[in-house]
Parts: sequence; C-alpha cells; structure tokens
Amino acid sequence: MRVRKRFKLAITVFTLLTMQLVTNAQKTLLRKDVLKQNERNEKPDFGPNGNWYLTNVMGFSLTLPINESDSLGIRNSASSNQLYYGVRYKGKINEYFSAGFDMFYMRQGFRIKQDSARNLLSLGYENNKQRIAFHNIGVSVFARINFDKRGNYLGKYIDFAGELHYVVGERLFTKNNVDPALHNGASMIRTNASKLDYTRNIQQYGVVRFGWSHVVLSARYRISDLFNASQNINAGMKLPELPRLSIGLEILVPSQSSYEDVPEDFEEIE
Amino acid sequence: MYDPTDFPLRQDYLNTVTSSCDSICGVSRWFNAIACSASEQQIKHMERFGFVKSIQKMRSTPVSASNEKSIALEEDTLDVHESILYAQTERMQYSLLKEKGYTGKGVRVAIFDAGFPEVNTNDCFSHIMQHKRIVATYDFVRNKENVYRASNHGTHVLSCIAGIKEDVPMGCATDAEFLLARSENAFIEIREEEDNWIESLEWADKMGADIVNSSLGYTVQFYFRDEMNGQVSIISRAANLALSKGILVVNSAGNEGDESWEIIGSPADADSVLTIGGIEPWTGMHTGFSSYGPTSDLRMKPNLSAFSFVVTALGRNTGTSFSSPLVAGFAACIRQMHPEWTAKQLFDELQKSGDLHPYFDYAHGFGVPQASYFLNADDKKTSPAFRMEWDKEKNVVKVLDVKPTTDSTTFKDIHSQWYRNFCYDEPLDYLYWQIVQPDGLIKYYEVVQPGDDVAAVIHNSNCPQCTVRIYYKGKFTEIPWAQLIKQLSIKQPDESNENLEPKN
Repeated sequence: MRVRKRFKLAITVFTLLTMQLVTNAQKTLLRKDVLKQNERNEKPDFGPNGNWYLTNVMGFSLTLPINESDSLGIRNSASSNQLYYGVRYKGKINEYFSAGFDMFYMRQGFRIKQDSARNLLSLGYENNKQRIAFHNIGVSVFARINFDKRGNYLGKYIDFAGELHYVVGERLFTKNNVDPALHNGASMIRTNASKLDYTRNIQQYGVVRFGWSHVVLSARYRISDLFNASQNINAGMKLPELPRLSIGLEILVPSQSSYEDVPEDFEEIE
Repeated sequence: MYDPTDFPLRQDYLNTVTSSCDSICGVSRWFNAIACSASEQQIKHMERFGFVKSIQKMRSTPVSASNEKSIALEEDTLDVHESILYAQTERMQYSLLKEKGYTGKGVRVAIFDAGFPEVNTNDCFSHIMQHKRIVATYDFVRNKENVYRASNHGTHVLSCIAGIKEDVPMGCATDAEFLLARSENAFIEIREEEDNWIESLEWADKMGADIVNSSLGYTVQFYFRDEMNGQVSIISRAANLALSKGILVVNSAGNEGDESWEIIGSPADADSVLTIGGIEPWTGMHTGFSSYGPTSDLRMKPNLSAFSFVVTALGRNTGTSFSSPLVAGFAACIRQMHPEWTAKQLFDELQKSGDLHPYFDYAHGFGVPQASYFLNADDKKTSPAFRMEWDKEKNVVKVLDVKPTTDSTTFKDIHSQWYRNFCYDEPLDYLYWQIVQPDGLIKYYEVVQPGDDVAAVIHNSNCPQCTVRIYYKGKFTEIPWAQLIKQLSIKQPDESNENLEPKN
C-alpha cells in the first residue's frame, strides 16, 4: 500500500515537473487579500502606543559630581559609570498617561580618588589606583506622561521612576606600583577583594527620564548610601559616600514589531 | 465667489486669544481657528471664552514621500537616464498635449514642500524664471519669502511638474505659473508643520491657485491606521475643503507599501484629494513601496498612478513624491484645456482618463492618466471579451483566449525596448482580475502575466453575491459571480466549502 502511494506521488511530481517544462503557466505578479489587509486596521493591542509594550533597554550613564565632596570622591565622570541592560514593560492608561516596570542588571563602577578617607582597603598607604564595582539586579516602577497625541509611536514623554537594586556582588580593585626589592621582584601589585562587609546590599534610586521615541535621556539619583560602617576598616567609621547622581542615555529595542509583518498574501512577486 | 469660510477671523477674538496664550502659531480662515502655544492653565482659561467652540491639541511631523532607496537598476547608463526622462511624461501621452498646445499655460500650481534650493539658478527652470512665472513664494516655517533654500525635495518635485532638461520636459506643465510654499522643515520635527500646511493651503487659495501639489504624508508617528479615513487629520479636512473652493489637491500616496504601515497616509486619505500611487517604469506595475488603498473607511485610494522613478533637475530620484507632481502637471494641462470645469469635474475626469479605467485596484488606482482620453474622447470597450471555463474539480474559473507575449525579457531586453514599452501602442501584457463585494469593496485582486494555455485562474471567492472584474489590454469585463457560474453552465458550489477561498 505504502509503495503504491509513493509511486503515485512520484508520478504526480513527475507530471507537474513535466508540465512546467512544456507550458508557460500564468505568472502572478501581484496579489492582495484586502480583507486581511483591513483586519490590520484595528488598533493593535501591542505597540509603542498600544495597551502594552515591551522593550529591551540598554543604558549607559556617567556619574556626575554635584558638590565638592563628590568631586573629591571620584577621579572623573567618564571612568565612573553605570552600564545596564534589562526589559521595560509599559501599560497604557490613556493617551497621556501610562505606567510600567523595568527589570534589569546593572554594573556600577567608581574610580576612587585616593585620600585617607577613601583608602578603602587599608594597606597603610594610598593606592595608586582604586576602583569599586557593584553588580546589581534591580526592579523599578515608573509613571509616564506623554506630551502629545500620536499614532502607534512612543512620542515624547517624561518618566518618574523609583528603583530598588539588590547588590549581588561587589569588588574592590587596587593597583599599586611597588619596590620590586621588597615584593619578591614584583613592580606592581593588583588586588581584587570581594564580599566586602562595608557595602549595603540594597540601594534605592529616584529616576527621571526624558524620552523621544526609543531614545531616552535619564537622570538617576541614589537615595540610599553605598556604604555601611564596619569595625574592620576606617576605625569603625562609615566611609564617605561616592557621588549619587548619574546622567546617561538609554536605547530601547522593541521586543517585537508593533505591527505584524506584512503577510505573504501581500507580497509582490518579481 | 466666496463663502463664510473665506471671511477673516474677528480681530477682537484674535486679540483675546493672543493675550491669553504664549504665542500664536497660525490662523485659519477656513476652520475659523487659531493655532497657538499654550499651557494647560491657559487652555482652561480659553475654554471659558464664549466664542471658543472647541480646543484641540495638535500634533504633527511631516514625512516627505520620497524614497531614498537607490534605484534598483542593473546598469546606470545615460540611456537608462534618458529613457526615464522621456517616458515619465510620455507615459501620460505628453506629446499629444504638447501638440495641441496644452502645457499648463495660465494655470496656477502651488507646491507645498520642504524647500526649493537651486530653482532660481538651475538651467532646468530658466524658462520659468525668465518669464517670471513663479508668482509668489513663502516660507511658512520661517515666515520669510525666500524658499530657495533648505531641503531640495521641492526642487525635485517642481522638476516633475515643469522642469526642462536639455530640451526634454520633465513634467507636462512647462508653461504653468507657480506658487512655492515651504511648509515643512525636513531637518527637525516640529509641531507647527500641520498648521503650516493649512496656512499654505489658505495662502494658495488667496493667491488664486488652481492646483496644489503636496508630496507629503503623515503616518505611523501620528496616526493609527484606523484613523486614515479623511476625517481625523486636520490637513485632510482642509484638503477636502479645498476642492469645494475650486482647488484640486494632488497628493502622493506615500512610500509605506512595503513597510508595516502599508496603507496611504494623511492627507492622501482625504476624499477630495487626488491620491497618486507609484509604478515602475520598466514593468508598468505598482512599485513595492507605493502605499496601498483603501482608506480605513474603505474608500477607493489611490486614485491614479504615475512613475515613481524619475529624472529631475538634480539627478534621479524615487518615491511617490514624484508620481504626484507628474500628475499635477498633467492636471494643469487639462485645466488649461477645460477652464470651465469645476475642480470636482476635473478630479472625476482625471480618474476616468486612467489607462485601466473603469478597472480600479488599490495598488494602481485607475492607472496612469492618458491625454488621449481628453483629446479623442476615447471610449473604453466594456463588453465581455474573454472565454471562460469552469474547472469544477479545482473549483476555479479559467480565463482563456488571450494572446500573451511569452518573451522572457530580462531587464536589459526591456531597457532596449523601453520607450516602446512605456509609451506603448499595445497595452502592457498584464491581466488584472478582482472580486468585488456587494458593498463595493474589492475583496481580493491579482495582476498576472498570462500563460500559454490559461491566461488567469480565478479562485472561487466563496461569495455568490460578489462580482468578478477582469481587465486585459483595454478590455474590461464585469460579471456577478453567480451569473458567471450560471453562464458557464455549472452548479453553484456549496458555500460552506472552505476550499473556495482564494488561494494564496
């Protein structure tokens, strides 16, 4: 029975191929199913101005010293920064208001200027270079105000957000040029310290974002402190805080197209 | 002739609003409206004025309907360049118009665009400048008269209406008069541009424009697809008013055909706007990027088509931005021929002059306008001209007895026959068919190149009340599906049979 079916199939394929060779069949150049096209006229549920929208978020921000203490704390803004990646969900309330939440991973780094107060890892002298990095996972909730009516487009908007970060890891790096004679021939010593007992596990931020479609300018202010007091360093005194404000840029990448891809029926055949 | 929409705004109202908001962005006689920049508090304050009927928040950003994609040509030769140059007007039978002296003389065409650099210096426009046929210019973006700056999109557009390159016209209306308005800032997006467009239209009205060309489209950034009904966008509403005031607004369909938006934008969605789609010179077929109809309320758009690959004063360019001025120039010639016609008559007659008329589809509209329609009153054959056969087994109707050209032509082959192919004596070898619902909506349509034995296969629409329309080489057949089946002496198939849907 199966052999017979295969034979029939082979005959059919052969016949079709042969027909193709001997006849010039009609060739469809353009076809359109207008009913299907019109189905897409309905307002999409998903999309930049749909009922919900999901984007990937990639952000980079620079620490911005806003007072003298901040300026003393870090070497420069460019080398103290935040890099983060996550997802952002937005739910539409009405044309002008929406709300949502983010989930993200963030790496924070600070290149610390050296003085006695910030000589975090007490080696007995000021380090040549020292930086501290935090690896955070965070969530935030935000409220959004849009400035104008629009199509299925993010438009111009301002977000007010509160963020909660959980520090999953922190590292303190130091680099010192040393006398090889005193250090077994080594001219440089690098250290990498972790599980620091003077950093807080939880950080809180207030965030304001100005968005123009998928490009966002963000300002993030740390409400909580980075450091706890520890009996093991700085004579039990809490370390001076590092700068709290950072300003940066976010790029949003849609998780999927807000409109369906053009269906095959709509294809124009070359 | 005037109507109440021509009256200026009351100065005391204007003064009151001026003193209550930050700044006045524009004033519209037609809508008896003022556009201004105001805070929420100021808006609330103004809502209390007895003369304020309603307050609407504006939004706007124009998108030029030009397409920066390079022309997909295998060869970039002078021949190609020349072929397009000749054919872009000749496809509309420009020679016939020229022969009879219809070159847009005495017709005033307004162009709304993003700037017109080089128009005052380029040789292609010297015949216009020398005879001072640019009657007025205004830059509504900067509120200055000089428009010979900024984006060169308008220069390309003017070329397609009236430019002459090396003695070859790039558009049909080489003797028309022009009003040039810069309504759009192509470099930044600002909210006032929608106001600028309306102000330009009212200015054009005041300056006596007969025809307006606007190669602009507003789509996904500011509207949803379901809003493309000619009523939501204020510029669509203004464009509708224009026709009643004797101005024919010609607008490009847009370049969203191969984008997710896909359909025409605003103001091309307006009922009274002559919306122009784009075709490829080398196939005569719809260009992939040209936006499709219908409107969201299922009206027929685009209305006509023209080349969307053109030669202009500044080189070659692509986009339905240039299809529109080609037809605007053509319309100016017809306006010269029939100054007694109302704008609505002109609109209707231009549609009838389409080379596919009475056939229409949402890709090509009624086709490319033809001068012979106006000069010869060319009656189209409307009698059935096909033999058809019902294939009961496959549940399809086969269209037979057409004589296709079976040459397998490559682009190069077509190129060598280009002029002949574009400005054909014989219509192109395409068969168009469609299924039309009783409410007039075209449910499904195809364009096919006929085969040797079967020209086209029409799948059962599963809609006995629907009509089948077929167009081939000027021959047009329209027949209700039920009648067709009856004529072919077969039984009406079971409606519940799912296999009857058109196959993709």
